[in-house]
Amino acid sequence: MKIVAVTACPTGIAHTYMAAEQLEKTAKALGHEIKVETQGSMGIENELSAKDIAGADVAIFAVDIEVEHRDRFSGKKITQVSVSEAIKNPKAVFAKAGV
Amino acid sequence: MPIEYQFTCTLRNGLHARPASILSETARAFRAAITLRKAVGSSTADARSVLSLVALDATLGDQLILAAEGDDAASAMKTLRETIESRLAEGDEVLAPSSQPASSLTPLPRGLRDAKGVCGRSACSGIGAGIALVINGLSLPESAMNARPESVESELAAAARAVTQVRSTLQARAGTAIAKTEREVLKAHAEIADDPALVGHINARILSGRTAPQAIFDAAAEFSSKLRCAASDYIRERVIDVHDVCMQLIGSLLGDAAAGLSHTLTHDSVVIADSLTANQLLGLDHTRLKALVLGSIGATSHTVILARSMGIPTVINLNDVARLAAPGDRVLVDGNSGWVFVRPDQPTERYFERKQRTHAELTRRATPLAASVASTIDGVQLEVGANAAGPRDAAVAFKNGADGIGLLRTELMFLEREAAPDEAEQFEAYAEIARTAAGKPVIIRTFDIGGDKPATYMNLPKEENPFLGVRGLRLYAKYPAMIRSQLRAIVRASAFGKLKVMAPMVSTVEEAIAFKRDVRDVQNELHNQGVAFDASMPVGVMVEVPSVALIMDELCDEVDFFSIGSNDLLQYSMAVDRGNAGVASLYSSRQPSFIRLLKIIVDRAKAKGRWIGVCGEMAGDEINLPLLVGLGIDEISVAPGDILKLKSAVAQADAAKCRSLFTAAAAKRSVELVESCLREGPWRGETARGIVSEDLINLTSDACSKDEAIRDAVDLLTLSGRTTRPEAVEEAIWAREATYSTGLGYGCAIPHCKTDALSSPALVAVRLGSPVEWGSSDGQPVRMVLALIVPSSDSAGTHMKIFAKLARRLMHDEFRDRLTASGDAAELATFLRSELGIESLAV
Repeated sequence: MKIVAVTACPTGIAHTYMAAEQLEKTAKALGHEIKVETQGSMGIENELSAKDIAGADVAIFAVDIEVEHRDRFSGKKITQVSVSEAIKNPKAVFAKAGV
Repeated sequence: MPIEYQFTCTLRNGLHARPASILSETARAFRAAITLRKAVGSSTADARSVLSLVALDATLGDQLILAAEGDDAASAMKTLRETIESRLAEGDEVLAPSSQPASSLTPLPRGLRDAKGVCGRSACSGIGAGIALVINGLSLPESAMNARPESVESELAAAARAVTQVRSTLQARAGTAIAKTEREVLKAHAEIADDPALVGHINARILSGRTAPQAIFDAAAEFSSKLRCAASDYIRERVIDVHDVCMQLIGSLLGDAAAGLSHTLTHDSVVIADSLTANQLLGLDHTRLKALVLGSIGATSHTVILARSMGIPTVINLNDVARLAAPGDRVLVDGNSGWVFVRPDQPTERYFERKQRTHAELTRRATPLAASVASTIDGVQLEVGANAAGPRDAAVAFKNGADGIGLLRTELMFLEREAAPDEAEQFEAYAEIARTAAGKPVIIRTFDIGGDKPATYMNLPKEENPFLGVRGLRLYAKYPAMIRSQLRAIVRASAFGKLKVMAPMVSTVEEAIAFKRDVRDVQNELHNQGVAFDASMPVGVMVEVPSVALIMDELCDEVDFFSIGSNDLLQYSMAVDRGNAGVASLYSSRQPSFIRLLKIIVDRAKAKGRWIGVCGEMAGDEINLPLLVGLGIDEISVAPGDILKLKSAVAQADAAKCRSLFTAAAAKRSVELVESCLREGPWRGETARGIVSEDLINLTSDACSKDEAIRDAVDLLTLSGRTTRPEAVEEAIWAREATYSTGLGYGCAIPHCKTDALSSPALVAVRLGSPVEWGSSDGQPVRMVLALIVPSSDSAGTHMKIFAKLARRLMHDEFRDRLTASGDAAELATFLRSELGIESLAV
């Protein structure tokens, strides 16, 4: 399955990246393809293009703040969880998204 | 008719005990009745009585009238006038003001916010702890208070005996005291013991029916109240001197133990007293006296001066100290902040333990620098020598890590005495220094007398312009015997070490040749007499006259080495008397013209392979170091206390950068521009400043709280020389911690902050022996602390990348296991650098 995700936390120093790493690590273990955009202290990295989003089966937001450029995802079904949920139990997050 | 002399009091601290004792000592040599009074007001003081002079309360700017009447009044007045004009100021040495006003309360450091303490004023820094010993002030035991006099005659005789005994004891102790402050205090006290006004009061009391101890007690109380009304703080603080002497008088009558004067310290102790006399302090066992807590005592009192000279942590100006602690209570004193903790709790004890541990470690780390010549990070050696005036200074300098004596100012041995020191006396001094130096070089400068440094026995004619007159080497032709005996002493001493001899005030090639010939003549003479000496002793000259810059080539052919006397060279090159306020602003060793002049001198010396040092004040100021390293100087000679500081600075310098900085600075057109160039640098090497490094890792922390763990992290920054303001870093970390716990879970925390107390970013790793509560998101305690501290000026980027990388790596078990298991700081540093991609980043 193809997954796109965005992670973002209020300070953007650590949890954004921890969640991204956790989602990437788990997707790989489960045999899925994933691209995670981080919206953290260094701005937007690994930015999702319109093509990435269009080609994805599911979109996951692991965020504690508002996602930037949310309009990119209009029409897409989004599963939103908190950053800590993604860090603590990434498998449950994927399950919630129907992966 | 009395002879009178009116003058203005120019003593900054008023006419206090020390200048008063100089005056009374002079007055006592004459038979005439001598009095001192204020031009305005009615009280008159007996000039032979220190107390009476002090009680006059003369302050800076007062108009004073000295009057003498009697057969030797005229000569008394002449001598007293000279004393007032020339010597009085000696006793008015300004004491370093305490940096802290009495009323301000130092906030408790974060680590002590729960501790219960009282805050006074810091009078001597350092931390000390021990068992409380409470000492009471001026008092008479009850039995003595209620005693009846035997007879007026016997009480008078007893008082007289006490005065004689105490005075001679004090004089004897003053004679054997080693420290100058101690000697002066004891001398001033001896004067008070014999003070006519004090003795007069005591006798008057006895005549009115009191016992000798009661009379002394009353007299002390009376003088105290008189002194306490004085306008000058300094004089008010002399109350304690009177108490001190009177307590000794009482002690001599009743026995010290009965008078409550003797205290034996059986454990490490903290002495608590409302007021403690200098004599009581001297009577305590210094090895067991760990701190002083005092009440109504001034920062300039003799007791505090002594405490400072002994380095005893001291806090003063606390109210009601007698009730602060019970005898036997444990007391912890922080002389740095002024806080005192009675029966301190565990965290407070631990706080100070860690603080002292860090301090000891810092000293230990700086010590290796003392043992060898410091090199810049790119391997250029710079000797850091010391300026000294005699064997005592030299010994201190070598103890502090001097690589040699860069300037032995021998003229100080010639001044303030009746005749020049003979060859034997000089030989002893030079040979002792040579032996103390133990193979390190000692540059002996032949006497530099004249100008500002006259020697009375030489009868030098008064010159219109002594700085441009017959001084330094220019005097030698007129005093051949003096220079010959000095050179003989130096050449003979050269057999005992690595001596070099140097002439002051050379301005022509002929002078250098003549000096060298004098040295050779003495060597030949000694050789013929069969006396041993070092025939290869280098002969050099001072560079302090600008003309020398233009004859360096020829001088290099004649002499072995040079030392730049930057003070005179600057004054002569800028035509500025730095004591003259009208032109003093021109006097800066950062004058573009001056640093260009230095460049000419050093380049020419180096072109001919000659050794060249700098021995003026320029060398001691750290801001000039990049200029001197950039010039390629071989040595700097500085005050003994500045040696380690400069060695650490040398060790951080990058000579290549210093050379570029020198070129840039020398091209500037004003002192201001040169200084901003020096401030901006860069001149320090960067390799020692890696963001991850072995010295930023502590794998064996015994911290038992979040607070202590953070302090351990910050201590690593202090120990690695990255910050001198650890409290500021700590506060910044806690400010960040207050917004959101940095406990990430998995037993890891990443405290972080930006601060201006640091100049390059640092990732500090602290592993705790037992986990501590951190408020982590997963509720688990923390064992691994990775703190990232970044300078405020850093335009967030690189270090954020490192943090993002770190956060990601923490999600992997293998990474965390490695952090937990690694037993070696160097290995962990390498691992972190590669895992976090630090090699590939430009940091």
